[in-house]
Amino acid sequence: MDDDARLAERCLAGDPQAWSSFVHRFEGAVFGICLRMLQHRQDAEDVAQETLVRAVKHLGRWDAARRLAPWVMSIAVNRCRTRLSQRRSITHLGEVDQVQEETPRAANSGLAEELELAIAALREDYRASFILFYQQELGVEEVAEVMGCPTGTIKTWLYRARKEIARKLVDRGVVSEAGDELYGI
Amino acid sequence: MNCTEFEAWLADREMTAGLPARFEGHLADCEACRTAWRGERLLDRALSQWPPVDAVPDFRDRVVAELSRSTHTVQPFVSPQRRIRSTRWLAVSGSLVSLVLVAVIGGRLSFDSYMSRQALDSNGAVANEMNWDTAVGELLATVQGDYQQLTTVASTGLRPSEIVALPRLVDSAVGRELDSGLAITGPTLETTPEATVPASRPSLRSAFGFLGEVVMVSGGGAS
Repeated sequence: MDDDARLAERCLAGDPQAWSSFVHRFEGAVFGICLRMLQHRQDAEDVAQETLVRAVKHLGRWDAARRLAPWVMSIAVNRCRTRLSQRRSITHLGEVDQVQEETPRAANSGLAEELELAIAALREDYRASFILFYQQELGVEEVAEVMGCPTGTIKTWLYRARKEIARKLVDRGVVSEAGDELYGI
Repeated sequence: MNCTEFEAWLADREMTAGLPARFEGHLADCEACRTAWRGERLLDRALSQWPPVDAVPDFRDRVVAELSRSTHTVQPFVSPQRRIRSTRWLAVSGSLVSLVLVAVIGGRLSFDSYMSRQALDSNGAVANEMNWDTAVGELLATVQGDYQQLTTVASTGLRPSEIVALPRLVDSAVGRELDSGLAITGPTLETTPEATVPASRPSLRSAFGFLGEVVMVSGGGAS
């Protein structure tokens, strides 16, 4: 039995130490996905907590033949989608003020900050795929599994996301027009 | 080289992969592709500086505390092999239950059909040369509600021997003129002297449309 399966079994047996290990292992990835998807720190904390609790409770449904990380991330993405959809319906009803967007601040602002802004402007499914592939470093097949789409669709989404972000970076003047980025960094 | 080929290469490009020499000439002439390539390189650099999100203080403790509060709802671990076995068992059980249901319902319908036939036979009913098994049995199985209504009509004063035709009462067929010459008005049956079964044997298709209307009761015509 591999580490994932052992950890899952201990968690389901109700071992608090195993829960702590589980949370420690996935909190960064899950919170990262939630924050970048939702663009709101408090919402991201709530949804990340909900994701991890739900994941532990339903570990019995995880297919031990697959990796645990993509399964946990798929719960995070689904919870974020649900939250975004709730947010949209509440905003449509005009019951709350527009959610104030809080783009995660990078320690070294500048290029990374521009990247965050460009990601925040992406379409929801492009954004999720981009985060899973470039930040969580899942393979295209795993991203496809998380998103519930064919791999061809994910490749297209990733390319479009990249193209959109690149265009934004250029449009915002992050690169000089002198073309000094042309053949190398 | 052209824009399409360059774009196709970009779409499949591995991150940080450099520009192949074959595209250099095209990029020198094409402003759009040059800009796209500039954006790609910039994105590579941005991604290399993309920091992970800072951890939330005491987040782990909060999650573990929440789990402790709801431990009783943690679902037991089921290995994939065991899950497959459970699914198979569920499928087999479902099939068996379906078979039993089909047998019970089929038997019940056959029995009802048989009993209805026996009851009508005992009253001397005949079916105008039609096959009871294929026609009347099926009719009685599907129009039991109508049959109930029919019984009500029959109990309104008309003697069985006076009824020359028992109309099929479908939904609110009351008031509908029937081809056989019967007019059903309310709870009573009005018959006309021509209210007889057609001499020719109806086709199966017309039989089902007409069947309820031609269930004959022997004992003579209307008085």
